[in-house]
Amino acid sequence: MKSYIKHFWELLWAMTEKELKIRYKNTTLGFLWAIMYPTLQAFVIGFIFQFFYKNQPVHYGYSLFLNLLIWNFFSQTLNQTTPSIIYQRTIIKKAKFPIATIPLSIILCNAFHFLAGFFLFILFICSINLSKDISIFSLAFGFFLLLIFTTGLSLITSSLNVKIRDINFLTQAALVIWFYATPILYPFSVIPHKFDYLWYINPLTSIIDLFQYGFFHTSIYPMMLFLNSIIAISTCFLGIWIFKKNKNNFDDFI
Amino acid sequence: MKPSKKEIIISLKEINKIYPIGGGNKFHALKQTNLNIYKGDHIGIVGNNGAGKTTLLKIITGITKPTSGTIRTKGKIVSLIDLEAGFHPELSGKENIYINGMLVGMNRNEIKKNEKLIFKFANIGTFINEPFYTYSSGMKFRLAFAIAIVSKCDILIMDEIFASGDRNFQLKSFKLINKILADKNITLIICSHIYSYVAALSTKYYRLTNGVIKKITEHDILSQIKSNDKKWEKIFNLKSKFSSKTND
Repeated sequence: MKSYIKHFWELLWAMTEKELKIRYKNTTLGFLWAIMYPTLQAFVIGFIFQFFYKNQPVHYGYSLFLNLLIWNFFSQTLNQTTPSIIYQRTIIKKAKFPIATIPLSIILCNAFHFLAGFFLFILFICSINLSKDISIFSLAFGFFLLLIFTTGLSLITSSLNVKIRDINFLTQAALVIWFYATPILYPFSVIPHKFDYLWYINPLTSIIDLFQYGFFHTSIYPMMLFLNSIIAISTCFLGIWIFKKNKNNFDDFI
Repeated sequence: MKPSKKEIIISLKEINKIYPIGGGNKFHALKQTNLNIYKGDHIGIVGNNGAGKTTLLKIITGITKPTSGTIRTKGKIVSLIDLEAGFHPELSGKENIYINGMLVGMNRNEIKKNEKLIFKFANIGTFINEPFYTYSSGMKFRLAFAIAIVSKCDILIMDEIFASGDRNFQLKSFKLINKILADKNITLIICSHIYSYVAALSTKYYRLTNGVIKKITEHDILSQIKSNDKKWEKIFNLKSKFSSKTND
């Protein structure tokens, strides 16, 4: 059992390393793309959305960049993990190994990129003295929720997609809608209270709130945080359960 | 030699494997399979394409679960199925060794320790630091085979692995497999539709026909090889070619 766990982590690490190595192979800008992508997004979206706001929220550009960093991690990870088991069919048919390392290595690789961009953001915020005090606890809890929610969803979509290939299309479509259903371009405070319940079921709401609070001490909604956390954590457990139930028969469908 | 005194290392009881196929149909790949394999046995399984050989090996390896029945295995299994799968074309041979070694069940230290041995056996020279897409198919096969074969195991499983690789390499790997089999504790299961490979490496034989396994004797295998040779000779009309050559 102990050697199995050791093997699991060794393999997971080796596969993450592989993902990191091949992602920017033969590119000129390489790792810079991890930061350039959200920066470009933030500039374009920020430019357009200034026309929509009478009073633009404070630090709109910076909080937009932060939100996009979080969203990109979430959506890119889900887009990559959902078909990942089918893409790696050849190794599943070849040997017995912990298959969960396939989606998990993608999540870890993207998490590294997220953290790298995130620390550059912190450095930048500190250098221009924008945030008076950064709440490490809030940021860490936000990252924790982001990681387990993404992991849970990835395990669900990647394992179900083996049998039902519609899941991949469903995920892609859902992500487009989800982008607007998450307080990325707008702060949650602009939503009328009678619609609050719609955001209760979207854990990304609190995840983004926690990150924003960590830097800019915007408001946190306790009820929202509570319900969102419960959904994020149960999604993670549900994902592990569904993956475990299906993994022994992946070979039959690919 | 009394098999009852030897330790059973793989036991299959009433294994059935049913694959769902298109239109709600089912394919019965293995039917009520019972099989006991003892430690140190060299098992050869023959059968035509689609007879269920790979399914049987996959169930023993644990790549897939049987639909019904129980399977027990003891010890570490290394499977030489679809050798070249899982190599990333953008990574170098050296980088690929680590990922693939781990996939077949080795740990990082084991691979590091055997790195030189793998390079030497694969015999791909300075290409080891080049990306995998620059390799010839023979080089790819040799590297993949070298990784799988150096890993320590109790049960070695081989599925149609001699298809590629040139004559020299086939001979070299054949010698190496024989060297590994000199260790009386290693159990071998080899599947092929090429009877001569099976006969050369194993001592006990089974035939799979449409998912049903049956024990056969060495005599059955050898006479099959003989009759196959004659069949090919006839099909390709080699006799007339041989005789025309001597006429020249």
